[in-house]
Order: sequence, then structure tokens, then C-alpha cells
Amino acid sequence: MTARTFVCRCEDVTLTEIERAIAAGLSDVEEIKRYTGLGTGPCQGKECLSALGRLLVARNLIAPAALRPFTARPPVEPVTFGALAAGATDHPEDPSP
Amino acid sequence: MSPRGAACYRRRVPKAPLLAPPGPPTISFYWDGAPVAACPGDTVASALIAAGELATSRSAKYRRLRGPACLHGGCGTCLVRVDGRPNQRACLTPVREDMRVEPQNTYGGLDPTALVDQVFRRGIDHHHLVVYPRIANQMMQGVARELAGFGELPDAPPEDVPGVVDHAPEVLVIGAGRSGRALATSLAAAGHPPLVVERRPAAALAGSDLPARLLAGVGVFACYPQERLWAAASEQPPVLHRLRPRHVVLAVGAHEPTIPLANNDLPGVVSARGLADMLEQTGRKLSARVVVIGEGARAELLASTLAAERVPPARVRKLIGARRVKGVQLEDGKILRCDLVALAPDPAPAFELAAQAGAPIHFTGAGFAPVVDADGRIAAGPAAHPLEAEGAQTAPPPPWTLWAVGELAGATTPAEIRGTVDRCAAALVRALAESPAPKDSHDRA
Amino acid sequence: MTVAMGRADTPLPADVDVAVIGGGIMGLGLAYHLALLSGGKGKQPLSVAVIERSYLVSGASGRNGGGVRMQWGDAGNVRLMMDSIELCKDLAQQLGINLWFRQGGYLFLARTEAGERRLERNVQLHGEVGAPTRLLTAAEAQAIVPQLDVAEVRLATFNPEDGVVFPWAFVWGYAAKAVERGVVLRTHTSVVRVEPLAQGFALHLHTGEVVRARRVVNATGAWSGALNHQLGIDLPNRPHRHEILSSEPLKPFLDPLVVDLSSGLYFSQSTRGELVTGISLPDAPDGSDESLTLHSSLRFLTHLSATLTRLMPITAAMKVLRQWVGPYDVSPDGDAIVGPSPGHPDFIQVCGFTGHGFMMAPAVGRLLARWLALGEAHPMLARWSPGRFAAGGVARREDMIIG
Repeated sequence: MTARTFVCRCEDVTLTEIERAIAAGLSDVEEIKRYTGLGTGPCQGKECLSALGRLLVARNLIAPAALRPFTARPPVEPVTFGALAAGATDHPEDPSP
Repeated sequence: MSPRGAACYRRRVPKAPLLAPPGPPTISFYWDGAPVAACPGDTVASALIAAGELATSRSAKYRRLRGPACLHGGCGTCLVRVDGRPNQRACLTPVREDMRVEPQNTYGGLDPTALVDQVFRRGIDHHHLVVYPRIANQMMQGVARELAGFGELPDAPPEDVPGVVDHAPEVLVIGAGRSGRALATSLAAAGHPPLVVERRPAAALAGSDLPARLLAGVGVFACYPQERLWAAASEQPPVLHRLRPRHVVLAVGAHEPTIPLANNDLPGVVSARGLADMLEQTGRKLSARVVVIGEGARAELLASTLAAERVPPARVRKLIGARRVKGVQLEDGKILRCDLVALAPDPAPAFELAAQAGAPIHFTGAGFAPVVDADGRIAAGPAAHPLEAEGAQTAPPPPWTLWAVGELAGATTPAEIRGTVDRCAAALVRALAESPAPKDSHDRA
Repeated sequence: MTVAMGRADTPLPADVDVAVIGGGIMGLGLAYHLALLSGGKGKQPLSVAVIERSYLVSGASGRNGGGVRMQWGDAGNVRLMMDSIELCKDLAQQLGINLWFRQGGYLFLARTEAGERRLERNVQLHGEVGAPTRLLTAAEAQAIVPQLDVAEVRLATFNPEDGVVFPWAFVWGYAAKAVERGVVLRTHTSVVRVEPLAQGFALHLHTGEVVRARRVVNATGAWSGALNHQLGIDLPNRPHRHEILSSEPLKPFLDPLVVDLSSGLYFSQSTRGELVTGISLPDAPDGSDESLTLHSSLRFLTHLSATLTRLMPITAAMKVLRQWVGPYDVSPDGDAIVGPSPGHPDFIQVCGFTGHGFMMAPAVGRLLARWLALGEAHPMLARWSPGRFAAGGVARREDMIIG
């Protein structure tokens, strides 16, 4: 089996792919997320975001003080459409004509 | 049953158990059609690991086998199909008699890893994969669509009627781990028992110090400052909880990030902390050989808890194994044989809810965390998006005070965690005395 | 790997023929087509610079649902989208990047008599224009999407040529090919001031640099008002926040993009398996103006979930993975605002696409480049003229704006 080093297992993003993105000029966490897919799978970055941050800092691509995470979008825990549907009681079902 | 997953592991041979049960197994459930013995207190993940069943899915691009890893409800690879519902976290699902658990995204007994390795030795660049000619591109897209995705559609819509509950607690504590429970105990002793909301089900919470007012199996999934509420939900039964607290304490702990090592995705590579917690919760004992990879006092402590040899990441060349991890090859060529590899990275604080609440976020060296003062207080401002147009309305100041304890507040050792809890509890009690709750602020729930 | 995503350190020339502000799909699509057209034999190529204030796909081009359809209510829009879809068919090969364009069709559902009439009118119109849209009964709609509860559905339409795409790759692809052909792309750079000169404009950047341009294109969509105000250009397009979400990834089960006309609910399944879905959200109960903010809301999640689980009950057991917000750039008559600005003919608007610019962009980029480089005027340009509002109100002719 080919040895591969994963930074994001959800989206199968390897260290090699991150390195190629960096080599192509990307240095912003949001850019790297979008181009590689890192952090967009079922865990939404819980496993990979800090690893990416450490990597960017270790390679002097960004100063630690300037490093920010990508937007922490809701939901941070899985939530079903079924549970959410219960909260819609205060809206009419058909808002537009 | 998922037709694609059904035949997946039929060829398997009985595997040596990796975790010894605390007593005779009294529960039996089905894993991919075959019975697995389990004990009360087991989750699906602990029972499967105990039985040596380490792989639960295949990955999206490279088609590699994956299994439970963080053991903490954080990562995305232990998702299994349970009684016809896709994408259930094996590590958070308590075992039930006769439940039917199936792997996902496995395509029967096919093992495409070798083929993928041969064709894509240097990796898959999905943006530029088979772009030309158009006909080949269309075929590639069709194949990619079939390979992507995770679980199959649910068998049937849920029968439960969804519900909604509103809460207006004086103090909301998010998380019933070590720090959340200690804080709840301190506040209760001071006459302010908080509402504690915990994503793990009650069955997965060991210990006798459970808070009096506890919502277990309910995950706080967001803070919506503009709507002035926090939102939480349970899946079964499907209930939405809207929380409008006066004070919020985040006791959400930390994530276990990956350590970038070759083959760090093999089934059997787990979080050391998750494994230690799992043993404590289930009463199971290790009968597997474990190697801990990590650096520093925390890794050392976890290695001693797991009675395992520890190596620092810099000494590791790669993890070896094919269908599961078999050992750790060191830079000097030496191989440490093992059944499980337990990663002990520096934990990355679970900053997400704090960020949504408008907390300033900084990089700690290990991960991201909210800026807190000595008492754990977070000065959360209106959360504005950096790309919002000029003149955008910003949220009014939040109607709650916001605090962090435990690992989110920078603590790592039990003594440090206790310290953050004590300081936060004292400061919160002062704040509660200074502005007593209005008479009508009891829970509406 | 060929990547040209723009860099914050790309050197900018002091003078260019065309400066495009905004590196979204409109700006980059236009730059790509200008580069294609202007470099012909014996011709001096136009020099083009694109200036983006953040990273590529940070704005509406990176926040939309990726639907591409010819099912519109007005012949001009139907024809435009037929062009756009035709272009999409081999655009991946043109741009050298996977666009994941999948023609699974658009399925429109009508649950009211008014909706029924709209769909009947559409099918007649589409037939006249040559778009293969057909009327379906509720049962026929359910045959296409078996999980639908069609008890309330009175009528449906389906066009098999409509489809979905992966939006980000369009932007990266246009950017890479434009840069390959000599376009200068600078990201992470704001234009803080636009100064009119005797000939053209001087763009003052936040870095202190100044770029002079013979013509300037305002392709900043929902952010365009601030630039226009600097020049005293008063246009009626306004930003409007639109929320959207994606679910956990599941194996393929849904081929078309489904739209429920009554609620404005739309949902499709991406190549990765996520359900991508949004809805028309009624105004906030307290009447507050949320148009300029990008915050996500629980109100959106609950309203969408109630509508979605009623129309497709199986989704009640599916999970939301993440929600986000993007701005629509809403024009009062629903038509885009494209062309020379009133009072500043060399300041060119490419705005006001009202939430549907992404799907139109392949056609718009081409027709706009042909106008700028060759002087060819596409019929839609007269209709989109920024000057039309000065003469008074314009009747809205398009009623198939969704979400």
C-alpha cells in the first residue's frame, strides 16, 4: 500500500496536496480549505484545522499572531432536518405567492 | 440493509479480541450481518474495537479503509448505518440488543486500494483528473459521483414527532466532562445549580457526580448572537432546544487533531485520550499491544495510563499495515509491532462555539482558542463577518456573559483544569450576586 | 498541477486598458473572454487587470448553490441561459479544470393555481424559443424523484438540459486561463478610491499603489454600491442576504434540482453527495434590515427544514452539515445592470444579477467581451442598460427568480 500522510481524513487531503497548494501560492486558511477541500467533510475541521495551522506556522508562511481559523459555521454538532423542523412553528408554511 | 455494504466482511476470520470485557458479555448485536458480543456500557465503537473489527468505512478518494479514530464524537470516519439510519457515530452510539450495524461506502468485498495506489501513486488531483477529452470527463464524473457520498438514504422517515423546548436558565454549562461537572457542582453548592447540556448520551457518562439538571444526548450545535440564543438538539427523539441563558460557560474541552505521519489513517490508529476515556467508561481492559505517539507530559501520562511504549512523532518513519495497523516503523528502521497506535497530540481547544458567539480567537501553538481573562471570562463582541458590506448592521451586545473552563481556557493537567473551574465558579457567583436573576427567569421548559 | 488563483504579491502595471474590480465569476469570465478575443493576429492585445479584495470565491461566486437552468419566464433569459448551458458543455475542457457540470434537469413543482399557470406559460414560451421543457403530472414528477410527497403538487415541469455545477472551479478555471493569456490578477487588495481622470480613472489601492485604467469594470456585485457612490452614480440595486446549507454526504439518490414554487425551496445533490438547499426566507419578525449582514440564522434552518421534510419526508432523518450566507445583488426589476454608467460611460457596471448571475456568467462574460473588444451589442445589453432607471420605473418582467 502506498504510504500517504493525511491531514484531513474526511476529504482525503494528504500532506502532498497541501504542499502543492502552498507551492502554487496559496497561504490563506480559507483559500487552502476551498482548493483542497480540507475541513469540509463530516468533522468540519475538528481533526485537521489545527494541524493545518501548525503546518503553516512551522513553515513560516504566516505569523502565529496573524493566523485565524476558517469560519466556524453552524452546526458544530450534527443536527437532523427532523429536529429542526419542530422550531418553525412561528412561520407560515407558504411565505411567498 | 444496505445491499452494497452487506457482503463486505463475509470473508473475515475471527479476530483476536483487543479489549477484555469487564464481565461476561450480555448483549449481542449484528455487525455487517454477523453477531458481536458486547457489554452494558459499550458503545458500538468499543464493542467493535474489542472484537478486533477496526474498519468501518472506505474513504472518498483513495478508497482506503477507515475506522473509529478519535473515539470522542469529533472525527468523521466511524460513521456507520444503524437500524437503517445512515451516518451514526459508532463512538457515541450505545449498544442495544439485536441492533443492526453496517459499514458504509465499502462496496462489498472489493479492495480497490491496490488499484488506486497503482494509478494514482502521486496522489489524486480531483480538479484536474481526466479533464480531457469530454467523453472521458463525463464518464469520470459519473464514476466519481458513485464513489463519493457516504451512507445510503435512510430506510424510512423517522416515526417520532419532532418537538421543541425553550429554556431560559440563569447559568448554562455546555459540556458534562470533567470541567463542566466540577463547575456544576461548585455552582450548585453556592445555590446556583446550572443547566448542563451534554452531547453524549446519558449511558455514555460514567461517574456518580452527574449534575442535577442535565440534558444528555443533546448537542449544542450553534450560538446565534443575532437571534440572542443558543441552539441544541437530540436526534432520537428529534427535539430542538432553544436556550436563552444569562450566563454561559463553555466546558467543551478539546479536539484531538491528527498528527501528520505516513499511514496515519490506518484502522487501529486512534486517539490516546479517546482510548483511555473509552476504557474508563466501559470498564474494559486492554489486551492489545499499544504504541503511543506523542511528545510532552500529557503524552507521557497517557502512555502510562495505557501501559504503552511511547515514541515522539519525529522518530516515526511510517505506520505499517494494510487492512489495519500492524506496527510503527521508526526512522532507524526498527519496527515496533502493535495492534493499536494511540496518537497523543497537543489537544486543539474546541473553539467553534466561542467563535460563533463573537469571541476573539487566537492561535495557541496547538490550535485555536478564545481569548480569556484570569477567571475564564470571554469579552465577546458583536460577531461581524470580515466580508460584510460597509454599514452592515452588527449584532447588539450579547444578553449573556460568556466564560470558558478547562481545556478551552488553556488548561491541560487535572490540577490546571481544577484551577480554571475554581476561579470561574468564584467569579460567576460574584456576578450572580451582583445582578440577581429576575423573578420570571426560571426555565420555561 | 496548474493553479493560478491570484496572489497578493502579483505586480500590477501602472496603466491598463481595462481594470476589472472584483474577481468573482463575472469579472474573471469577462477577463478570460477579453484575453481570448483581443490577442488576435496583428492586433495589439488589450491589457487587463483584475483586482480582488479577498481570496477567489470569497464572495457570491463561492456561496451559491450551483444551479444552471433555462427554465425562465422571459424569452430573453431563456435564450441567454440556453447559450450559457451550451457553453458549459465543454467548458471544463476549455478551462482545463473539472467543473462537475451534471445535467440532471430542473424539476419545478407548483402547489397553487397561480404556480400552475406560471408553469403552463413557461412550457409554451420555452417551446417557442426551443428549450426542451415539458409539463409533468404529480405522479410523473414522483417518478423522477421517488422520495417526494406529491399530495399537494398540482403540476410540474422538467427540463433535462438544466443542471448543477461545482461553482468554485469556474472561478479558478477562468482565473487560470485568463492569467495564462496575460491578464494580471491581484488578490487580497482593496480599491479604496476611484478617481476620475480626463481619460479613464485612477484606482487607489489599500496598499498605496495606483493603477490608471482607460476603462473600469465594476464587477463587485452586492458590494458595488460603495464604489458607485464615490462617482456619484446612483443605481437601485441593493444587497440582500440569502442563506443556504449543505447536508451530510449521501450516495447519489437525487438527479434533478427540485424547486417548490410556492415556498421558494430548492434542493439538489452535489457530486460529493451533499444536499444543497435554500429557501425564500420571510422577513424577520421584528422587521430589522438584515440585508447587509452575512450571519447564519436558526430561523432559516427551522423554516427550511419544516418545508423540506414536508415535501420530502425521508430528509427528516438526514443531517445538516453546515450553513452559510451569501449576498444577492438585487435589481428592482429583476434584470441585471450592465453597461456604461450614467455620467461615466467608461465606468462599466456588471451588477444586479439578483441571485442568478453565476448561471448566466458563461454567456455574459462572452457577450460583454465581444461588446468591449469588438463593439458587438448583444440584444440583452439594451435591456440591461444602467440608464433605464433614470426614465422612471421599469416593470418587472421576470417572475422565475428563486430563493
